[in-house]
Amino acid sequence: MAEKVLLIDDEVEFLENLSERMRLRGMNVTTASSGKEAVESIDAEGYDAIVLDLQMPGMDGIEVLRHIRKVNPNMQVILLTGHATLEKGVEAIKLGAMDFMEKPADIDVLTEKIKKAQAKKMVLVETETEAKVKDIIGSKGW
Amino acid sequence: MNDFRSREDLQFFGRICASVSHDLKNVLAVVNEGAGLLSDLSLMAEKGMPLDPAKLRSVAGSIQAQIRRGDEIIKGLNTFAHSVDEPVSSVNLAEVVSLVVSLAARLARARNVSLEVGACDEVFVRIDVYALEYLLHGMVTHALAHAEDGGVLTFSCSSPGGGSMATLTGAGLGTGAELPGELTALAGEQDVVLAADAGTKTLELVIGKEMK
Repeated sequence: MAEKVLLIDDEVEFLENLSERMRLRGMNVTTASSGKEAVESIDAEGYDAIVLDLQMPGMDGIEVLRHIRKVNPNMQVILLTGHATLEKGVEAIKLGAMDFMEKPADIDVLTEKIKKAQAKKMVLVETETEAKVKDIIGSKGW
Repeated sequence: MNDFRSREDLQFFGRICASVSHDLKNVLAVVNEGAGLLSDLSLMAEKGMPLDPAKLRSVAGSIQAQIRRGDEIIKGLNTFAHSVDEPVSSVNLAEVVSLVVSLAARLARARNVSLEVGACDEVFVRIDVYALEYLLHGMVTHALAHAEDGGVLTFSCSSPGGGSMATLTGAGLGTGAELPGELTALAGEQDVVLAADAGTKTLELVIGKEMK
């Protein structure tokens, strides 16, 4: 199944070229060039993985990450950034970012991380579904 | 210069280098994806997919534009690095203002503020250039802390009454906190005057008599 990916970065040319390369690799890619645009996409759709730049004008990557944690904690986030400060990096990991890559990135490594993110998300969703089913069965007393 | 001041100076130098290196990382990332896309397209062409010449030209053009952008960034960093060569020298204030605007552009962008160079007369001043850059950059940092989201800050320079003045104008300026102590102290050491005018929403750096 094609990985559904949201790519967030304020460098528009980077966004266009990387998303095209990801599509050539069979991924289903949506792009957002600002934190605000990203939040709208996240609220409207589910994704297997989100590739997120930390430093963006206005609403930055950390704020986007906080929003993701609030609306969908199972969403898998890979940080792809120029130079994150140690402080920002630690904050992002604490907020649940799954992985980290520095720009310029190797697309094969990024693709591998996206596949891992998709697999991890599937496991989390399955576990959550199983817990919900158990809860329903337990409460009905069948 | 005491150890503390010396460390503050280095921290400023470090902040500028870190910001420039981030910009260069972004340039490299765009070039990397552009080159990668050309490589992907050529691999697809080998497998029989037709190549679109307009697409190739567009990607090549994007790479060339990024190389020009990177070159400008490196030129700015090089000029900044050489500003510590001489303790005092004669410089064109307009050029220093323009350099500081380009060095602080990323900082402004992060706050969603547009930082621009306005009208600038060619004014030569004799000063510690690194200290001048520190002061001008400090004005931008202070202004950004109080600027409105989506606002515009404009740096201009002029030579009123034989003196020299750099002026930063923009919404939100002059309504915030007092100027940071280290900036006013450095201004005093350099024999220049740094002032905020809440009425006209400006920060002004008055440097003294024009040098020719």
